Amino acid sequence: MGDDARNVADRQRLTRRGLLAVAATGAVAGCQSIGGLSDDTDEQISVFDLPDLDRESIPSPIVAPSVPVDISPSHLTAARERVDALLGELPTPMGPDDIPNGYVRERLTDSASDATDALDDARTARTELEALTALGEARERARYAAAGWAMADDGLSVESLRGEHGEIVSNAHAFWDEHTYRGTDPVRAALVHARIEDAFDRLAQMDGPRSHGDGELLTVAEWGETVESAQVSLDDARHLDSQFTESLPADAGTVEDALTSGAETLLADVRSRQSQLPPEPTPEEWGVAENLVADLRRSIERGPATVEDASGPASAVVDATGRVARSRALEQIQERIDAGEISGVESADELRALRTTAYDALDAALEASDDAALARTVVSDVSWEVTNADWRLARFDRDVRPDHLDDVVEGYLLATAVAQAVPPACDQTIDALN
Amino acid sequence: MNRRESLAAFAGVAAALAGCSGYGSATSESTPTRGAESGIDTDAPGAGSATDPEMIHVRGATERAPLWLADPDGETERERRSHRERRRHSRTVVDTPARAERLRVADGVDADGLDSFLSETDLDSQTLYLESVEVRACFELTLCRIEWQPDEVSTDYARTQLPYDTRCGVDDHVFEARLVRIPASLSADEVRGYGSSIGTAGCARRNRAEAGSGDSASAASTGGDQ
Repeated sequence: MGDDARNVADRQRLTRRGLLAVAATGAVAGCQSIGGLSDDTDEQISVFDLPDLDRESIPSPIVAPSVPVDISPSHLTAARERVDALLGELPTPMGPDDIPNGYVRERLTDSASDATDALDDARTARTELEALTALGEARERARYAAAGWAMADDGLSVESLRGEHGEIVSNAHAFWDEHTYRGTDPVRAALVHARIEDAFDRLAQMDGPRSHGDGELLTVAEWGETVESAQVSLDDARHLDSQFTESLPADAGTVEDALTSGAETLLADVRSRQSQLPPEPTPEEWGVAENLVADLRRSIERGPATVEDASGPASAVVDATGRVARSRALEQIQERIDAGEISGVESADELRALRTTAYDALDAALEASDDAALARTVVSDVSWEVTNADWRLARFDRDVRPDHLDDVVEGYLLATAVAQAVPPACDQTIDALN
Repeated sequence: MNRRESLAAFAGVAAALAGCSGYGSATSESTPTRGAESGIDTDAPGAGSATDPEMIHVRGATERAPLWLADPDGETERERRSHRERRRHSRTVVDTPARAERLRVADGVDADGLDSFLSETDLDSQTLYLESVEVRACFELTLCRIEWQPDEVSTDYARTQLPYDTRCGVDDHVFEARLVRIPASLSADEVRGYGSSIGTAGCARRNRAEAGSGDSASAASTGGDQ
């Protein structure tokens, strides 16, 4: 599983810039500079020297998230069937005689199309958890379209959907009241129960759509999506819980105390590392180093301060592991800044090297950590930085001034530093839980 | 011919031009306001605001503004098309009967009530403000607030979606023109600044937010130095 980042980095495709190169051959003697931004075209990095990326092919995130429990094929099939049933309620094609308002009609057909795209994503998902997430999104988007259509076709009302939502929330509370932190290996238990906690938390905090300015039909559609989202969260939480319970020996006890005290230990470490940080600088000029430090500081400060503030002890453990890794990364970055090693790039080669290093660091973190599942959860999260940096890079279609690559550089440096800190952070979590 | 007579004469022309499509009506909207967003201090001399001004509202699926002020040199229809059809948002101050006579209504647009509206306007103490905005055909605008001072006029609109059973094309556009009666005497030569904002929250919410953002709430339709 550890080589998925490498596969992405090596992938070659015909990209937009590739097409540009073919089209421009002979016609343009080198790309033009970005208009008016620089007088010195010698400083530009040629677009043809940058990594040639196709935005659509960049995985989001680079390292697929997963959960250490089997998701049953029948659960995924049921979700797929639910999407098919919802989409099956729609008139095809949906025309002006069905929904005369073209804008409203487009919102519904776009939503149905999102659902179909998400079904495709589920089919090509790299992990079962990714498939489950994509199917949840497919259900939500399909329900949006179906609920909107049901308002026009059958008078479906917000009131009725609000009632359905209330029932789901009440069922979720009943499920949550019964939920216990069963487990044998506390790390594995933390990873599974964290997903359950987060699902319940998401559901419990959602009391209705946030939209305004939409007409009556689209408000019903939004409510439909909200109701489906709540049902998805409950269905998935129940499934993960029952699958996990089934995987445990019959006499498995609860690990709640271990999770709570482990989370407290880790959060105390986060607080202690935070208190040792130098005062936040207020530089006059923001470069790669300053932005890196500010971003890392923000991501360490974000999140629950105590177990009570978290969705539960399991997600507190997972969250704290990520923040310990980021704290360690910040310490390392600070040392490198002091040694004058952090700056923007001056050439495409430097950028390529940073990108390769980031991908290598993600792979190394997955392989080196003592708990592969825990490492994957943290690495997957930070690998979004690489996805975002790659997305930014893919947007360049002309020569670029080096400092315009600072955001990209920062993403690769941040991901590298955090990934390198994942193995020791995982060790710390394993120690704290045992 | 005095001012009022010339306005009445134009009103007859407008009635004759009134056609079939679109809809027009004298409308009124909304609640208290405060001029913070536009930068207009509605408490200053000569300044004011209104959330329910008297106006003529014309909406038409026309290629250009359905209600407009023709150039003084008697521009032809062909010239008007080429010059104006890309003007998606236009505004002008009508402060004299001579300018009011240059008001034109596009063929086929129903500007019902325009004639009486014009004949009831006293340009000695009132001013007409003509604003035309292009909007996606599946949406409509509601004028939440108009604010003025001697050198500036500003408007705020709420954009709402038309009902789902109203037929409209997602890529189509229409024009909404409003001829608003400002209860103050402004000079077209002095008004140099125009502002306009359009949001998706309804007028009640927008005006509440506006009132909340100001230092003090000012009553609607305060006219300034009339």
